[in-house]
Amino acid sequence: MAELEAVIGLEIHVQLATKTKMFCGCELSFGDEPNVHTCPVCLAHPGVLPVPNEQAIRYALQIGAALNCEIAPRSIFHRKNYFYPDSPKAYQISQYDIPICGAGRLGDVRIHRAHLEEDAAKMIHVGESGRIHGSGASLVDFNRGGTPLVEIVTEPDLRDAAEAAQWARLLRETIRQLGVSDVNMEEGSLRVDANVSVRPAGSEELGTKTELKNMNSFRFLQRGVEAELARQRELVESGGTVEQETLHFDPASGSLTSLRSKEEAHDYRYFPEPDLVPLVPSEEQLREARESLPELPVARIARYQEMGLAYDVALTLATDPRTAGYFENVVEAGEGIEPRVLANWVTGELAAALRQAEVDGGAADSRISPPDLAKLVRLVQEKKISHGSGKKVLAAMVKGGGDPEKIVEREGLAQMSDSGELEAIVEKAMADNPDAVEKIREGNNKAIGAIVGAVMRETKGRADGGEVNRLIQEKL
Amino acid sequence: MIAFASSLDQCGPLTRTVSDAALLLGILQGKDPCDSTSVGLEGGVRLPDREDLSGLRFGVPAELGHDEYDSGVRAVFEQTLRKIEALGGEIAEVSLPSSEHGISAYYVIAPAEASSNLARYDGVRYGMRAGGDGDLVQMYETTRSEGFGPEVKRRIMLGTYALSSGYYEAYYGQAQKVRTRIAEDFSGAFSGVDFVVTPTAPSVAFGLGEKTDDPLAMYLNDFFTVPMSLAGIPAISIPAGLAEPEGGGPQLPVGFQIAAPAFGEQKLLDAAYALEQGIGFDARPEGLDG
Repeated sequence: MAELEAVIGLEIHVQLATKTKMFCGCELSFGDEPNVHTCPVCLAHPGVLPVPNEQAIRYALQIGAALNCEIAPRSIFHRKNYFYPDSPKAYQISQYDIPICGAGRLGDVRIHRAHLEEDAAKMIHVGESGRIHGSGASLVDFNRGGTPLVEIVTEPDLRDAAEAAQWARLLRETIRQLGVSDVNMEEGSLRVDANVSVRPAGSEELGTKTELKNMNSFRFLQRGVEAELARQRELVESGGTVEQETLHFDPASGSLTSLRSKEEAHDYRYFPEPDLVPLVPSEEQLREARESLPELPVARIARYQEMGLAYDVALTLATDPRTAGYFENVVEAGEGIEPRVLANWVTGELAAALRQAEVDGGAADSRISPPDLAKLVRLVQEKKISHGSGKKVLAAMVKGGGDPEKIVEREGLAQMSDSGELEAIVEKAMADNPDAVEKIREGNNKAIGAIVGAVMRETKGRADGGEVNRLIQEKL
Repeated sequence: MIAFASSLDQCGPLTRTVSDAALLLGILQGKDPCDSTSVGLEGGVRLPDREDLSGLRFGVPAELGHDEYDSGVRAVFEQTLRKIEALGGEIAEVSLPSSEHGISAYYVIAPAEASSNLARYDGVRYGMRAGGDGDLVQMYETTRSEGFGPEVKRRIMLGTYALSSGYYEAYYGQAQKVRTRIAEDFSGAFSGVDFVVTPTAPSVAFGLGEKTDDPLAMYLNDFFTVPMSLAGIPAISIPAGLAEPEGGGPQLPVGFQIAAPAFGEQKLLDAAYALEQGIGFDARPEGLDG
């Protein structure tokens, strides 16, 4: 049998960080006392009508612009009808066949659509598991009901669980940088469902998919998809067929349980919402959405890679715009030094020094000015101090800021320029470590570390590592 | 106003005179910040004071077959057309070929929307609750079975069916297309006339509960008024005379309906006022005065 290929698409619900709900004036909240942010509209009292939140529409347009989506010149709202206590109207106002955002792309993944809708109320199932099965009673908290949501649906372009999780991280970062959502998975302001199927590698047809619901971290998303892929592969390889169903992943046990099968699927009886007029964004709204976009992670990663940065470093900076801004100031001050080297200092040595000193906040909040960091890197690059001394200076700068040259002078960290003095120290270190010398002679080059270490201890790190190595080889 | 069929629901004045209707509409009209589908009438509504109908053209649908309404109603309707001419108005023929499907479209769209609008009466948050002993679905079913009357249940069933997967296009989708056609018919007609006129109902008022067992006959009573609602245009009904029911009995009022293009409320009230004055309808039984 041909190898089975995984096909994964994601559906992401993003709670918009507007002041008020999608169709009424109730304040958005998280963690407040239940049922304090409600009104006749979001409780669906008889005789009330929805009024769309302009800010939510603006945010949806910004998301559409960030995901390179085609924006519909005229989209409409639909009613999705179903009976459940989390939906006080017994229908959700959503979008159906004409969503506000059509086809788009983020990185390597095509976006199928993105639409506006309202969130359901929160159900609290009383009982040990917190889930409906085995629960004796359920309570409803309407604070969340009516929160504006954008649902983003991808094309099935992802090919394994890790890739799915990584892309979801990129999406979260993109939306976070737009400033339109808190994108907090634990609090539910970002919720990811995955559609998973397998097919023979090379096939164009899609296999029957299952839907994995509400995995509340990227790690669980990856593990859930991995578990489901393993289940489907085993099933198909043993001659079985995948049934269309909705699954719940339990991260504690790693198991998947069926929420409902295809036969139990709801008939939502969608029809155009007669209480709302079509959504027709003006030219000005579209322009505003486009112009409001900051430089987004995908663009930033590409730009940094062009500057010579490794993908991982570019990604680290792109997901942290403040540190990225700091890095760019360092590049400006460090003319002539490769940006790649500066980026490694910002994301490597400096980040480590800040962690070491238990300083809150990132590079941009530190006491080290970008020109001072550039100056320090230049001292190392020009071999005026060793890399190890550079780290010492950095540690001092993290605590009290200041000019690295002065710190070098104060601490006596300037590289040893007298090769006669260094030679003597190397000779002594070799004499003190005859075992290591013997091992090097036998071809074990790793043993050189012991001698280099002894030299560095003796010189308090002021010796140039390359020079020490050269001298040892010479004296063997 | 509690929603029944949202795309058709509207509040309108029900008054003794056209002037009272204008007064009330002046208060009702306007952009409501709590209703995003509302718009205001530019200039508001003034009291009508038109005295004749000169220069105005009134269109009578060519499709208005005689078998659709009672002879007594027809007599009053034709007498009113003569009155319009006497007041200087002109009578013309217009074509509204899709209007005959109005009732069918209406009785798909209205129940479909009603089935959704009435779903909130489920016993969870307010109103009556029945059978609430632990099983959610059973509680929903019992509450709604006991809470709604037979006509409401009939419409919920009809509407739910019309929206369900596999039937949507055949029913709801088709009804929406008919609705669009009806609206297009009207805008075509208004390119040649100022108003479209019809009897308000095919017969005088029938006895209370008389047609409960024959819902279709009851629905047909809306034959003349439903197309205007579907097209989304303003219409007014004024009493035009008295007629005996088809089976005999005391005379009862007959309504005359005038419809105008969208946002033509002021023009409509002005014309209705002039006609009302010309007809001089007096609903008081004979022998009573003052």
